[in-house]
Amino acid sequence: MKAWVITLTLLCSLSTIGLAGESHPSRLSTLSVAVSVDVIHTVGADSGGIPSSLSKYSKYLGRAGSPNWKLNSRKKYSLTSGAEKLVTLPGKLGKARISLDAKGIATVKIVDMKGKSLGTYRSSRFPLVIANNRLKIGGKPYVFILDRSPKK
Amino acid sequence: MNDSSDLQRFQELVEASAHRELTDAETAFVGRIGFRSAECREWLEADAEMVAQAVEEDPLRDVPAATSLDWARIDAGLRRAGALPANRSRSWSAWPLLPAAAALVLCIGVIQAILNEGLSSTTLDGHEEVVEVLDLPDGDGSLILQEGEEEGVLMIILSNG
Repeated sequence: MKAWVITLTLLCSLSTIGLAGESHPSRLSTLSVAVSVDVIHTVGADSGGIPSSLSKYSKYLGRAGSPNWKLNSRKKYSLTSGAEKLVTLPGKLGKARISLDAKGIATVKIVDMKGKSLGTYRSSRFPLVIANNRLKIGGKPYVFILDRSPKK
Repeated sequence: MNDSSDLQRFQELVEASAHRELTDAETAFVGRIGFRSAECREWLEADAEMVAQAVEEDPLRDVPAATSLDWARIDAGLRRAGALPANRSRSWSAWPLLPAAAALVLCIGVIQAILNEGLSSTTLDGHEEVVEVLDLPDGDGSLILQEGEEEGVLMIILSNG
């Protein structure tokens, strides 16, 4: 009888854990699967307004120090909660350390080439658009954008 | 009463003493005849030797040990006779395990809840709103612009440098 009770409870626990893992894959994914994000580097321009590739961010860029912008580069990164990703900024501006916590809040720490911090920014909102007037390329304002990759 | 009938009566009483308590008159008769009749004393000594020999031989030694089936039959017989509790009460012996089983089920529930909800009440898709600028260089200021409730955020850092 005792062996039966132990066997049944073990079976129940195994099936419960199995069901929990199966019925809530999204939660498990937050623990082990990476979140895909886009890192977009933009630089102010003399003319041309805001290109279509940046139209999604036009209302932010329009307030970031220049009416004209151009896309410097866009790259997709895979972020795992708790792990940090190091991104090199264009124009030898420095580097950005990007991380995502378990609650989905992104942290971006920007350091110059000497490693001096130029600010740490946290946001649960995306896109996160950072305009720092210490960061200029060729005298033009630089803007760092962190956004969630569009779902396919 | 003649000697043969006294001997027979003596034998009967000695045999009967193994099964019942003799009356005072019977005890007095056995004592009186045993003291007076040599024939009775000889029979008694022979009977004692025979009993001693039988005990020494231990006839139970040849009896095989009871098997589990024998014990099961005895157990069933005693239960039928009401000398032992019915089989149904056996299941009650498992009840002391129930608290342990309940505790295990509770632990499983807690693990499942942690897997579902996480250690905090906010999940990745939760609505905790965090928009902040930390550790700016000395003298720098920040301006945060948010557009709408579900949209992004613009963080403008102003510096004197």
